[in-house]
Amino acid sequence: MRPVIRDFFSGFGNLFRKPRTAVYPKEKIIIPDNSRGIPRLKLDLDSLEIICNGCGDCARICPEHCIELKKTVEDGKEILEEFCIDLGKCIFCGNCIEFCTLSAIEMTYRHQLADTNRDAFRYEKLDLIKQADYQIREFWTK
Amino acid sequence: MITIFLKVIYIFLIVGINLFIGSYVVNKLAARSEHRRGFTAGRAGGFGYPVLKMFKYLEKDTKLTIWEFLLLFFSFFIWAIIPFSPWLVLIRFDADLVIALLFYIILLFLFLVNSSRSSYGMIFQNASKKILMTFTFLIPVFLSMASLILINRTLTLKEIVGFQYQYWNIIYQPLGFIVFFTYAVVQVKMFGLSKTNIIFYNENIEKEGSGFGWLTLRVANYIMLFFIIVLMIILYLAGWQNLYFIDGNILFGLKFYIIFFIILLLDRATPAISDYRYLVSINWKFMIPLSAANFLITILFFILRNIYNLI
Repeated sequence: MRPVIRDFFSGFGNLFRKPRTAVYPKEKIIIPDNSRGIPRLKLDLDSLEIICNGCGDCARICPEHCIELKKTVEDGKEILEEFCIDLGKCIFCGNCIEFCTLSAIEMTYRHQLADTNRDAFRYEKLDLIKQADYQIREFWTK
Repeated sequence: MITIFLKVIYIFLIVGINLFIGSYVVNKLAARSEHRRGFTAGRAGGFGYPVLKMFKYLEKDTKLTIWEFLLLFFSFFIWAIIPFSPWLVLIRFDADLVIALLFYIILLFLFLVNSSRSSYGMIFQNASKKILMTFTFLIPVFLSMASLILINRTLTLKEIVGFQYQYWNIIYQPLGFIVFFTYAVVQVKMFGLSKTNIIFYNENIEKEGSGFGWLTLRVANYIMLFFIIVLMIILYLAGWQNLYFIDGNILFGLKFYIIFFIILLLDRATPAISDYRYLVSINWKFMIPLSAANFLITILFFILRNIYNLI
């Protein structure tokens, strides 16, 4: 009998509380902290160059094999030439971020990716650098 | 003639508006007690949603079987003998409490038959179990009503309300009221307002009864709960009697919605019944002993007072 009385009053109290669900297009909520969105390539803030040297650890660890990269050597230094993520395959597991020795990749909070064209999910190097706009934890954004 | 016509319109309006509000409240209360939103479409917090839902059902299928037609007819005809106020009653009987109960039993029977009719033998077998189950729940209700009639010495609902001008019957018969209230809660649990109960519904109800027939079933479900609450108010909570300066008709509505809210909240607070044995234990271990004790106490009181002149 005691749980019934407890549930009765908690249900009654809930009537006066704000509902936790959001009516999606009308209402906007703040995305939870540490949620995983599209990865972005980090830039070195002093030289404004890509930190990634194209070692390929992320591509090897990726369970879905959605990362493709190519590197070149210039003046005895390894430089990333091409970097591509197919977000149609990506499961946002975050392994690439975890295993990156230079911490050159980071996850943003952007996650709304609906599109009619499948090629739109292939993000090239420049697209991934542009994702820096979405690194702030913000409202639902497109 | 015009007054009768007016009365019919008034009763239809009262029942219709309360059906609309009831279906809205059931959804919203079920949702808000779980931090959800409930109806949102249909403007103004989803207030127009019950009407939209009605059209949705009608759009699917408009055919009615004879059982469903009778169910719809009786769910409105049942209100002909229930007095909402001293003058707002269509048919007057001396023993209208008995007629009201008879109509209620007919509605219950039609509801059960409608939910049990199927071409599958297994479902047809379950029908007898369901009927037995629901009608044993009427035993404690009858017992508590009998002790109430012993006190009031009348079978007319209007006179029972008149009897309570000073003290409400709930003061004389608290155990009877508890039994009645438990019956209302159990009925909601059995027939399921906010969610369908698998025991008391047809197994193929979602496939075959999604049209007008399903709508009649829902209406009958609400009407049976409304009927029990109204009967409870008339028998135990003084019906349309004024309380100090508050008007009786407003009080009637207030009492109705307070009990309706409490029953719905209790429906949310208790787990769903998916076994006959729980229902049997509720009936035979709680309701019937309580009502029998109430009946015995009442009889003992009258024996001691009238025969031995002790009280």
